[in-house]
Amino acid sequence: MCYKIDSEYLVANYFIHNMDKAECSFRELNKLKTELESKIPGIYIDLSRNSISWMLDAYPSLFSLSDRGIKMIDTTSKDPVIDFNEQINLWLDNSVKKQLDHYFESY
Amino acid sequence: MGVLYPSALHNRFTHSLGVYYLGQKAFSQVKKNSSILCPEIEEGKWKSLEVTFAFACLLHDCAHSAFSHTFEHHYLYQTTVKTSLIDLLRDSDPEFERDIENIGITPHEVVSSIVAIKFFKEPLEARQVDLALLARMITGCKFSDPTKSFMNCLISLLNGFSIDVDKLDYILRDTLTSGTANVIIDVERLLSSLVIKKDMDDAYKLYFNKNALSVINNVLNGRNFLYEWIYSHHQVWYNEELIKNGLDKLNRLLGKNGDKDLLSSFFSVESFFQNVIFNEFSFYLPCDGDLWYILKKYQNEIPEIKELISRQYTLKPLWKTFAEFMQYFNGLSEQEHKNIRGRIEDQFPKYLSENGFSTTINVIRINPKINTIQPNEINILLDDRVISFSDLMDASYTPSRLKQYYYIPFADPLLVTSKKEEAIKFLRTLKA
Repeated sequence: MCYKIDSEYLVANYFIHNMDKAECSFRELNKLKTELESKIPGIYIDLSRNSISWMLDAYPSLFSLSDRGIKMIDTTSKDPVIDFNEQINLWLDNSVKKQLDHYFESY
Repeated sequence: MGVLYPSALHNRFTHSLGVYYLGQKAFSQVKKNSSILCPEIEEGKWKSLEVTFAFACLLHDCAHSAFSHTFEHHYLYQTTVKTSLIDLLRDSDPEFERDIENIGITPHEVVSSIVAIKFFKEPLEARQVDLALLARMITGCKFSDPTKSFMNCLISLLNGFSIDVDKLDYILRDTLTSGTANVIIDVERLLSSLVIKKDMDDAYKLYFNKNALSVINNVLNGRNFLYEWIYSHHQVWYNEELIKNGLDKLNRLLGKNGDKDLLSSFFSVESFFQNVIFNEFSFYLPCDGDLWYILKKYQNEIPEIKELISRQYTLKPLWKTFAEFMQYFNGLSEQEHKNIRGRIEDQFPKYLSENGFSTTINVIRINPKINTIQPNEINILLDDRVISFSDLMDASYTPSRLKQYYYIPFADPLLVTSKKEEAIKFLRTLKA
């Protein structure tokens, strides 16, 4: 059975591991999603419109919609996003989290 | 809905009819309001778009997975479903392959497009339905080609980020069938305000006339009400956990048949076209009933399934709403919230054991699902001027920052009825 990960995790980690970027396109997110799913067996990253919409609405102080995809609200610091990522990591299955961490170590 | 309102009827069929009905009304109004503003769109083109849009509305959920959205990711997991749709449209819409990467994909929409195009090819083509546009409408995949902005308006009318006929139907349907006291939405007023016209950049955009402002507000409030109080009800979340955990265990129990397991056989595109066999089961046009049959067969082997079917729940929520959560953890910093959340699964069972209660717990994250309007998502026509809805009215529903830490621990019913306050006091000690 595959393990579903919400879009918030992908978006947060995109920004954390691309320190020079404050905006990402859906194309870039799709690319990262495909890469992660191919490298880590048993996961599915939910990048559906609903998942993105709920993320944007639940965390309006962090992210908003742009023409191409998603942008950070506070472009001066990544700390809020890093903080947010730590929080949502608490909900991830431990073994999946380890594999994701391992992937991003060499990202 | 069925968990809270057992007699509330909401299935794919009735919803599809509802969206079809609203879609026809919406299109008719768009055409009435826009024909003069868009004289370059000929009558023949309007007719052809109308037919395609109507069938997109009717078929948009024709392959919606059983049990709502809980398992639909199985459609895309390790399959070539997206590639199949791209291949189907390669000749008629070569840009689709590029454009679909510009959106977030919803699995059942991709599969519904495939089923619509393949299963209903003949009757759709006989009615001159544009199959590629139909797929774009169902998946919400807009054209990146700026000359196709008119079509993009219609795509967002069925499948957009904010108000579309799909969302409108389920807001109306769930409110009506549950009997819950939600806001009243003046659908006629809303749809009669729809208009498409060119903006300053010469691109077509979908607008609402100013007379729909109050209704737009109601749509948002109505949707948020359902999400806050119905879809996010603690019992709904708990049931979903039971289904997920139960099916996960069942999937592992039944093992694999070749390279397929139960869930990948059940949630497969093939099952819409032919019988898919897994062990002694055969799936064709799979629905909720098929899964319930299998669950009932194994209810004695898997406790979660027994609990789900019997509704004799073994765990109860320590609190039921965000308001209670805030009351119990009033004054804590975000770090303290994080500390409690990080330690609860480890420390709480020890506390329960020491106090003579069952140590089984289930800590469920309650992910806030509310809807605001992003800037420039809904545009209003104020006589000759255009203004974003979010600039005009307070469309924000800013959730408390602490909602990102919101969860509900489910524990021994005896604890919940007799020692709840002490248990919560203990949880607060985990903050340090």
